[in-house]
Amino acid sequence: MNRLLFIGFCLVVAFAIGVGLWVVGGPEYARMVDQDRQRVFDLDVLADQIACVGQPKRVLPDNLEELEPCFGRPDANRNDPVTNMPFRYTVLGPDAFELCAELAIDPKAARRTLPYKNDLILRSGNTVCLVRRKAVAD
Amino acid sequence: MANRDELSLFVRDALVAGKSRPDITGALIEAGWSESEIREALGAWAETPFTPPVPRPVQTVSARDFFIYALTFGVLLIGAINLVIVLQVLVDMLFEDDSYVAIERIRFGVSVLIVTAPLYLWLTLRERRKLAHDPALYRSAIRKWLTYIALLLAAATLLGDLIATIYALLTGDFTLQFMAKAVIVSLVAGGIFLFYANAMRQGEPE
Repeated sequence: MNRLLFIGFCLVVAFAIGVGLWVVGGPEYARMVDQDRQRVFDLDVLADQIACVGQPKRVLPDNLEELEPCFGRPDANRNDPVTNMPFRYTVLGPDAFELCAELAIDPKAARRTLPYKNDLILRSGNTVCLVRRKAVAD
Repeated sequence: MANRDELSLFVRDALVAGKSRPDITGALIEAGWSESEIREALGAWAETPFTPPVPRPVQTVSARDFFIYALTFGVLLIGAINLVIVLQVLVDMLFEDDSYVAIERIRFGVSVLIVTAPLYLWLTLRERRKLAHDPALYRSAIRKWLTYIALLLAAATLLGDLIATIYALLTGDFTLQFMAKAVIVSLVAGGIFLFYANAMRQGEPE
């Protein structure tokens, strides 16, 4: 009886470890997940700086080099934290813009570990984007 | 007032003097000792005509036992909690849109299991071999106490699991996901309870 219980427990623990490792992936995968999370966090902070709520008279910059600090908000990182390439910024209209980043992991697989996953728009390849509207003065 | 050491000494002297057990019992009752105290004091000596009286084996306490059994049960407790966490989060991931927090919990739980499971396995198998080799180790009071504490915790977990299940049933929260998680808790706690209940029975004197 106890021998069976003991073997059963060993099998359950082996199953938990095996499936757990399969779900979370290896160290390299974990590093890429963290890098992608950082990219999406950076995109969000940068989008907040561009939208700069509370300054409706401010116009959208044509490119990220022209982006000015927004009072009360931290100066955002404009480049990818790993590759150091600038995030892709596109002006969609007088009050709308899009910010995109290239992820290391396929976004469809990585969505479960990404912040703001409901706001992210999947583009081709590993690209994800945030679209924001800016409040403008009448 | 005499203490238990003096009672034990008296019983020994009376047996050496050739007094019968009923006579010793009668004398002690007259002196005010309770029946359970007398039974315990007489039970410490084997019922044999051999003189001097032969002592029965007594429970032992040693620092080595404390180290081994406290480590074994500590590892078991931490490992069992994390086994339940990993399995429950895996169940959650089957039913819900999983999150970064769930992944982190699995990662930590698996790390704990990778350390605790082999250590528990090694400690338990090593102790089983020692017990088989020297059955006197079954008389370790620390082993008995810590085993009963493990049984108590397992029983309390099973009862808590049952209460939570009934409560979920009454509040309408009893879903397939909840049931799977409750079954995991009951299997782990029930398995530990059965394992140590059987181990205690094996160690009891015939």
